[in-house]
Amino acid sequence: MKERDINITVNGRKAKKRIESRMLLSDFIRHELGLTGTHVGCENGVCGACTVLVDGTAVRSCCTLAVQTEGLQIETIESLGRVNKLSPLQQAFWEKHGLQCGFCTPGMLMIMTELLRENPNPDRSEIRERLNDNLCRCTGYEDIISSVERAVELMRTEQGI
Amino acid sequence: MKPPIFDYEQPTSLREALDSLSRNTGTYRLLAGGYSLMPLLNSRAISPERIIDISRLSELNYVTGEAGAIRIGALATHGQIMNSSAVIKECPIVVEAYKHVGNHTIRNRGTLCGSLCFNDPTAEMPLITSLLGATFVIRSSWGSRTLSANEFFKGPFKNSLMPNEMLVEVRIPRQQAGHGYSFIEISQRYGDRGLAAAGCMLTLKYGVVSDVRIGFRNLGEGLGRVRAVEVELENKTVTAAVLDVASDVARRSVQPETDMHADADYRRDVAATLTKRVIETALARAAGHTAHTPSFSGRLS
Amino acid sequence: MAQAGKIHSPPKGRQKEIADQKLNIIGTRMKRKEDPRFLTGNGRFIDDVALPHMAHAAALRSPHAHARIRSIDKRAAEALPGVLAVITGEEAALDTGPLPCFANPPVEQRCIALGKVRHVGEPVVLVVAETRYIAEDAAALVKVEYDILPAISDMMDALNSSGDAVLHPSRGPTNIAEHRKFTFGPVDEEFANAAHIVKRRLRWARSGGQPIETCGAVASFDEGSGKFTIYANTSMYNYIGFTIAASLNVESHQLNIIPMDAGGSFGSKLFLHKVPVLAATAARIAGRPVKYVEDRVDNMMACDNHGSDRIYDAEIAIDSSNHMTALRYRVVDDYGAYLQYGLGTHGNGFSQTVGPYRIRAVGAEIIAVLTNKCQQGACRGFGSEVTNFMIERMVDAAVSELKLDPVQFRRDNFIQPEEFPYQIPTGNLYDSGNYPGALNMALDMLDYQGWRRKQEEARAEGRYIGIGIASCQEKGVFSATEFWMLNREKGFALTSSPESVSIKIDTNGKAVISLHAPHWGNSPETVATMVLAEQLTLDPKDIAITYSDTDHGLPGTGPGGSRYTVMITGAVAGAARILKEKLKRVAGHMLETSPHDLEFINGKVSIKGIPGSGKTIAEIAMQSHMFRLSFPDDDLTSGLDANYTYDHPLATLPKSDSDFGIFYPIMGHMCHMPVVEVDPKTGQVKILDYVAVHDCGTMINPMTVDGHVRGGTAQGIGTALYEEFQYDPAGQLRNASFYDYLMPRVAEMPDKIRIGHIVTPSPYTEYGVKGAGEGGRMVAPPAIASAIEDALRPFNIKIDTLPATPARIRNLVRAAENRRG
Repeated sequence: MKERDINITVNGRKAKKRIESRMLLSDFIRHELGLTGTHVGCENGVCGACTVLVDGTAVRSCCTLAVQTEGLQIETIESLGRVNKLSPLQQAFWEKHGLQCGFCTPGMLMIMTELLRENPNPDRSEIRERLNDNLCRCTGYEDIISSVERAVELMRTEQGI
Repeated sequence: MKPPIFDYEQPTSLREALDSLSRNTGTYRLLAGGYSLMPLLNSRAISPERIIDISRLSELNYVTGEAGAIRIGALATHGQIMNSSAVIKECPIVVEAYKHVGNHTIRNRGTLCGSLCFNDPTAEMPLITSLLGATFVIRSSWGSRTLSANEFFKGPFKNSLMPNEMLVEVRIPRQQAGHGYSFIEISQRYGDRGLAAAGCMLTLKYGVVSDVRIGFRNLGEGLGRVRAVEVELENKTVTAAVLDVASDVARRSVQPETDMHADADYRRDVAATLTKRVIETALARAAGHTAHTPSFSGRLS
Repeated sequence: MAQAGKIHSPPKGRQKEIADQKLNIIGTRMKRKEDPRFLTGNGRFIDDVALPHMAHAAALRSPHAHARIRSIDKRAAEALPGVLAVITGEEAALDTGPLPCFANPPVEQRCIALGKVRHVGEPVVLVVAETRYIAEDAAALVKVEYDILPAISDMMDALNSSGDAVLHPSRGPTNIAEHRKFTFGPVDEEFANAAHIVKRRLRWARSGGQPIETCGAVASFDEGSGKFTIYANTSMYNYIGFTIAASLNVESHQLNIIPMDAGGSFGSKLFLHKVPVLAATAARIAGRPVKYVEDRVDNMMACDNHGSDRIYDAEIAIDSSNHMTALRYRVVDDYGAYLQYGLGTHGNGFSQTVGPYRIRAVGAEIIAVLTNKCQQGACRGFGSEVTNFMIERMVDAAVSELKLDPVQFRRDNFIQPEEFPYQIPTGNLYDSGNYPGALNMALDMLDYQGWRRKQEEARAEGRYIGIGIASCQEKGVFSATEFWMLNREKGFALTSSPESVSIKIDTNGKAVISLHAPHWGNSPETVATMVLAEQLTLDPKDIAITYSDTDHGLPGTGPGGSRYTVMITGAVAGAARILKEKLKRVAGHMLETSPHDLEFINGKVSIKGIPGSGKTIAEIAMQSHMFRLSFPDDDLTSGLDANYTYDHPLATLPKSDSDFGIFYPIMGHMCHMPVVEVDPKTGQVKILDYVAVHDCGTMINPMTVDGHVRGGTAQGIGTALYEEFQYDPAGQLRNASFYDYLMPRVAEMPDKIRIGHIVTPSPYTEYGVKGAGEGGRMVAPPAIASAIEDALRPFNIKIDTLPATPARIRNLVRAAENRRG
């Protein structure tokens, strides 16, 4: 079918739309749902700016058809926190200058969210290994690593560890 | 970069998928993880009339180990495979090669079988399956057949699947206990498509080497295992002189191309270096030393 | 002719805020003002813009590098449901003129190719449709017939091309766009008297900024008023935005450009013309708002901002005391198919063409050629990063040939700390610096001697470790004269490059600062907030930032050339002075004291020496806005706001072709020392350690400065080892994707770049700030080249070509091995 009805849950909200089968998940999120926090950098699957979580797994939304995610749970950057209530990860990026232009940042936050859920205590080499997935052209990466290390600290404090 | 129009199907069982393949209603491509197919669609390098999404065929999502033999279903992801305890135990060369395959996000959803069917000449796993003596289980709506790696792979981006056939499983036979192995890839950046790669497996007994398997990637079209190099080691004690001869044979056997990243002369020269290093590392591992474990960068260690 | 040396009667300048003062907020690592919106996915990027009834455009890109367009059959495309317009170059040219060009004579460029295509990827047809998907479907249905012309892909071929191989026959019979010779000081004499002459041929391949966000615009045309509105992630709209109106054939007040957050630029969004003009042209023709956002292939092939692409033949004259006396070079620069900035990227280099050294004469022969590639534009360093590479490679060549010590040679040749302000042979001035200090700090932080020992030990083990050294300049704050000073005929010889801010303090005492140039990631909101907070003792939380479009804009040249922090600091300080005066005046009335007896402390305007006496800024603001009749009936006006336009702190006119005056005097400096390990068998390079010492004068926010040092260094590492746009002989761009255009990921970076700071404040800027945005990329390439050469010293090879890929390095080593054996 060239068009399909899809039912997916995005950031906890159900979305039901009729769309072209060829519509990319990135375009669905950005333009059908108006969630423009997820960014598109290459549409080739290389830069990772478009990373979202699908059933908790990091996925490149520019290389995923929206219809492939039928019935699944999608999380985007908008689910992490709000300006007056940042998540520990977002707060850490703020404290440690983990962003400059902000364009790759949504992808960075989502892939690190996945990492910290898998492993709340990654060491520096584990952070670097995961960070190697995504491109940043502004920061040179070091402040992003510091941000994730700081997030680990903040999350530990939050949990009273 | 948006895909062209296509008809999309999402079969929920293997039977349904195979039936769909057997219908001769236009060109099709199978979609599993999507990281090989989607870039081609986005850039409109291909325009299949149908996309058959097999990602919901959970019956094909397995990695099982039984008496040392491993069976990997078509929907097993790279991530599942490289973290499988059976794979780690029985064929660690797979895990070593996986450090160079894509990245974490790609490995989350990319499937081994998808990658093997795609047969990108710079991809690592086609070579690894050749070295392991893997077999490929193929099904269509009217039957199944099994191919060796050599029979399955047919040149850059080509495989032996007939129209209406699907690769459903890769089987890795039991490997020799304590075998030596090594996979080394030279790339510009960590995890990049390789400039050149080599893999080696061997058995070492009383200082003599047997069951040698050596192959290369990106050093010549259709190049996999290179028998000419293997025979230089077979049933020998590997000395520096033997290594020199083997690496020289490798240099002369490969037929690399010049591309935008490296010229043929470089690749030929580096084939010799790679040959020495994979053999040395495989020997060290077979002898029980754990030297030469790849560092984070995967090179210079 | 400009005499090189210390200037004994230096210009006075207009600095009002000295560097050496107690500061409370400036100099702290304040968290950025910008971040909350980016962290929560609320950035305002061009592709986020959605207007009612907005249509989408896609370009059909030329598949050929050079061809005449014989015919275009668009019937099938137009018939596709959802297609609104299919626009050819000829149709666009009916109402849209050539794009802006600063070369003189100009090189004509159109938003859609007219008559012929000159590089792969150039737009041939623009399709407007209900969705981008449909637009691309339709583009694929357009049939274009071409008459193929010879493609020039090698710059040396461009030197000799003629006939059909000439890209712009109306401009001349060859592809040599410009050929100029400049002599600064007694060059020939110095070479004639030299004790040693060192020569090298150096190759800097073209790379590009490649930010993660491409360029885009959303345009609408209002039939009722004949006015365009264009949203775009461009800069310079409040400076030369009127040239976009000119291209669109409307009056300058019939165009409003609305800025968006830019997802990185590195120069490539300095001045977008093709993309906004395409969107606007399409909107006018289609009668609907149109969004045109480049995809990555569009951007890599046609962004109009590839970096420098040069071959230098350079030589240095050295006297018998091992002092470099003169530099002479011939450079061929492959500009691609157009020449938007003329020879600006070489003028940039002239600002610091002797590096940090006492070279007293420079001879330059510049040959700009046109080829069938995307044109050059601005790329972090704007050409002077290449000059830095050339100079430091020559320094290393001299050290190697004369068997000298690389540290001592630099020390012996540095301009010394007591020699500032220093005039260089081109006429530019270096305002302040401490080059030996930077070098010493780097040596110390690196533990240079320690690494030399490790290097020796490693060599004994058969490993190849090298230490690189590069001491380079980072010019900051360009003067507009560099846009035209190298033109044979000057053309429009503009001399203004100002920056403005508008600040209002509202009834409740909250401040809103309007910036007139965009956000690129360079923290302007944070800088403006910190300076205003410092000046007015406001809480940074009480300051908001907005961005002005061209309807409301004041002169604003924007980020680029490491100027923006300096300029908005000056602008905010200037506006703050006006506000402070008025606040004191009003407060004086409220406190019944003379304004001269008042001071700002902790957000209050208080009587000097009487703590607790003051009125808060909120109280003063309320009075100022709402209670005019409480004050004397004089020239006081209601409200509390100030506009301020800050002009270049120190610029003078060029005097002649051998003295360009002062055009880029705010001079930062860097010393980088990377340690690398090279595998001589595979040519792979790994960075083991990295020290970066930067002098950018007073730092408003050291955290954001360090961020730029790290990011710039990463791009420099990319340029040194990985990045190159590769065109084949037919002019096809082989690596128009991130798969094959290789940029550093975290694995390519050393675990930590250790950053040190030398601070030599500028005597000319407010608070003594200097530029810091480009520096990392301007010094890392020669530093890495130096390190690789040092690692492979036993093979005696030269790293003269960037990027130093594994194949290039290994092939050099193999050649050396063959020479030996």
